[in-house]
Amino acid sequence: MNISYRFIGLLLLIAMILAISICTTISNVGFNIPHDIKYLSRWVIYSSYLVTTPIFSSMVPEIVNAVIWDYRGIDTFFETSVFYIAIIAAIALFREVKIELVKEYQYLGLSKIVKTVTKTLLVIGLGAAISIALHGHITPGGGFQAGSILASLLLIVIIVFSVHFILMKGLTKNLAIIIRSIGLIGLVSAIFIPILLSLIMNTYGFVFQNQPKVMSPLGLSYVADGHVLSAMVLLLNIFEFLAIFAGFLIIFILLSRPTKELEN
Amino acid sequence: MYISIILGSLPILIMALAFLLPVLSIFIKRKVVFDICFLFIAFLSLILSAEILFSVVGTQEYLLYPFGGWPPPLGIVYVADYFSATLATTISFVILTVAMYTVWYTRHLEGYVWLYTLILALEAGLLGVIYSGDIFNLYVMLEVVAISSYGLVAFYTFRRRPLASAARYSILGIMFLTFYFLAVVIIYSSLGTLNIGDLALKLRPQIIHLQNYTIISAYSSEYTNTIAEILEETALPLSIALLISIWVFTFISALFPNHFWLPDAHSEAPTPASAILSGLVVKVGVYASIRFLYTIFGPNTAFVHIRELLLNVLMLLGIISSLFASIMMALQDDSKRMLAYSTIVNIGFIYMGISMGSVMGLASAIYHLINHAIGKALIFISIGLLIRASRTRNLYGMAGIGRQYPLVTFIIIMSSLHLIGLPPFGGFFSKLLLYQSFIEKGALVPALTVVIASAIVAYGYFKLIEAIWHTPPISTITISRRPIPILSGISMVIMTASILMLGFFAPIIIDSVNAIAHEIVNEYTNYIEAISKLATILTPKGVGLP
Amino acid sequence: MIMLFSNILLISLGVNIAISIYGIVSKPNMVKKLIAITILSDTVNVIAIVIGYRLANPPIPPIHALNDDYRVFITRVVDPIPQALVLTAIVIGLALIIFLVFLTLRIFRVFGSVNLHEVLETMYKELPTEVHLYEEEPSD
Repeated sequence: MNISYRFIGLLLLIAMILAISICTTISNVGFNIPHDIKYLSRWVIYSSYLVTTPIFSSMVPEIVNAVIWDYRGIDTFFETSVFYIAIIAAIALFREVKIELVKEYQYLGLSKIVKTVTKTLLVIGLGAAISIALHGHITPGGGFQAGSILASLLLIVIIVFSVHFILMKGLTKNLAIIIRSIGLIGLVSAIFIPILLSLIMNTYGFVFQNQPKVMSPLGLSYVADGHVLSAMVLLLNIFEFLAIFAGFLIIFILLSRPTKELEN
Repeated sequence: MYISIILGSLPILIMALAFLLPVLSIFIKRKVVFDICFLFIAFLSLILSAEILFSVVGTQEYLLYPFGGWPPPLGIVYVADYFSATLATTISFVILTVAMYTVWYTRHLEGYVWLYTLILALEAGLLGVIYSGDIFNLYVMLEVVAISSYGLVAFYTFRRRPLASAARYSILGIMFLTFYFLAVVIIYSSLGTLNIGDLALKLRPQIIHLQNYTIISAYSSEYTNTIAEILEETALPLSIALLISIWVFTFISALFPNHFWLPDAHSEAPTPASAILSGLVVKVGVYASIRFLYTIFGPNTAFVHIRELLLNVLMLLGIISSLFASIMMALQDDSKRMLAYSTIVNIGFIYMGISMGSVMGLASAIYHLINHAIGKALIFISIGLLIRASRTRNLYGMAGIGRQYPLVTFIIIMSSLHLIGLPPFGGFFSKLLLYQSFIEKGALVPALTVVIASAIVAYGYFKLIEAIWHTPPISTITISRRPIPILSGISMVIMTASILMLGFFAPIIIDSVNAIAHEIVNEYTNYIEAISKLATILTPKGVGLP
Repeated sequence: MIMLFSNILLISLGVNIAISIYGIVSKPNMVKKLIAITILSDTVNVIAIVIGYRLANPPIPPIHALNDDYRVFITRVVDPIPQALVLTAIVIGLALIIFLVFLTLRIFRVFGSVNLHEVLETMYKELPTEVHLYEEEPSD
């Protein structure tokens, strides 16, 4: 058993090194760093912020965010679903474990200096996270990044104040599941807004439609400082922010149970 | 070519409804509510996917959906041709019938909400894989399928065997699917597109000038006279990408060298999950293989040599897989493990059919795929009833239990005959078609393999039937007979009727699977034409790169 | 010179992939396997980013500045599509790693070990007792 595993491992090692080295050295197109970008990407770059032709634009200056939420929006939706299913599976793995709350949570955790510093950090970080979520379609960032920042701050809070602090303050696993689902349901309803509008206005609408298209004149946008920007991507980023933050919170709450409680 | 809103919203809708169940579970504790929701969602998906199938058959046109209204190579498009619409309807049907069984299965189970959510998420992922017209979207949907399968396998978290098998399955699955992402990246870097129709067109430079694909080619400067040169330069990376992706798909569908995770994983999952994993999830790999080997890297591309080599390898692996797994199946003492090995045998048959490269071989593979999906789910849920009654999966422990449940035993016998391949069930006709397709090409070894492996499998199934019906009970504890639950009884009867129908209407079904296979093998331009028509409609006039 | 550097980079990425496969296949420890999986997915992501990079002087990130000239912009901007694919793949990889971490923790609490060889051996040893406990239900 052991020897055969080793053998397979070595064989794979050699085969992979050979294959990828051959690819890199022999072929000229496949693996080299290109001087030019793909033609399809030129179209994406051109049409992502096209003020003159709003019928063929996503009105998002940050092109990666435009690709994520407009051109390939369904990928991102199902990617969020994968994250959610992973959390569901994790909850299912730990489903019979209950946590006992400690009422005197103020005696837990690190010293008062650290706690005070963390409180300051929390305010700053919350501001940063919200700003990244709201500016995801203009500057680098977006819902996932903002959610991760806020979640990492909460991880610091859990370490500094202990998990009982968070739970006693009301940020429980069930609340996190509710926030998470609000985020996802918001995401889904934002996806289907064009369909609803098209039913009301008796035109055609697409799932994930952001700006007006050839077949349908619908589109959500707003004007900021004289520039037309997509409101749909903004909405999707906000909901994604909620969903990702709450998802990480569930994970941290589940993981921060001491092993001692679970040994029975 | 029609744009269908149902096609676009079906997987998203199911996923969104699956997300609602955990929230409801915080507020509502009554199981009946969740049962009704679960069955309703499964039923809804059956109705919608059948609607898609009817409109594809009725209009004789492909159904497409461009997400966000972007023309195909720019955005993601869902495509429903005959093949994917048929498969999606089969998937929804099997999941609905298994759902009816699941409601009974979970009556004493804590955490049923998580089981329901995972099954619905799995269904959304399966439908997404089937409908997807974009190779990166295919990757995302395969990950949806994979992670819900891992969750289902590890569902009994307080037992050792499910955890260990889930560990092995998930580690290897994550590794393999990461390699599929690598293959997607290589294909993008070589051809500069991710759309399946666009890839199919780019790999066939000879038809670009024959047909009018001007709009789709506007999105790519690589559609020029130099396309043949580009293909020459990228031949090696694209071949490697093809090899990697087919290798990954054989992992998903558990073909011979990558099969070792399956018997553990499929037998340790909860029984409804076993029925879905064994009946449907492995078929996703087959579907993706067919798309890669026929639609994208088809017989008239520049990759015909590497494709021929790959088909020969797949034929060999299919033969080894069916022979090896049939022997292993006959040796098992564990009823669910036995059925899991039977899945590997049938996957071997399906891959043998695919690798013939002919219309008849592909038709028999598709027919066998549908037969096996329904038959395997049926035998799993009926065995599950007996396992619940006898409280063991071991054949010796289950001795004589069938006498207390004559109806269930009768259904087990019928589905065994279906899976062995005896008339008048559908399994006979698909194996006959498979056999004919080998004889047609003069391939004697695969034809013999089908017969021998079927005979060994028959021994295994007769062992099972003998144990549950003929052997006197060895257990000293008398097991009191419980009534068969109504809902799962109905679902078993429906599935039995459907395997009988698959046999009785065999001529019609053979005609339609031949039509499907003919379209995939010969009429591949239909796919490309549908995509380029959609691109024509959605591109505004006068827009061009400066 | 750039050719040499890019080849060194890509060969090292290949070696990275090989090492991670070796780690996944032959190291029995679940945590080591997990680390190897992380290395693998990060390497594939880096390959995607490298393919989307371009040798312009200097390359600029794919963000439209206000009132920029498309003709100048397009000569220097890097490819946004692989970046978007990688962002999606990172989240998916993260989700899978999360599941694997929970599974490893659960295995450690049930088996008392994270060595997959030991775990699989223990699993098969305990077959006779486990079989009769399977699919149990309260008697009704």
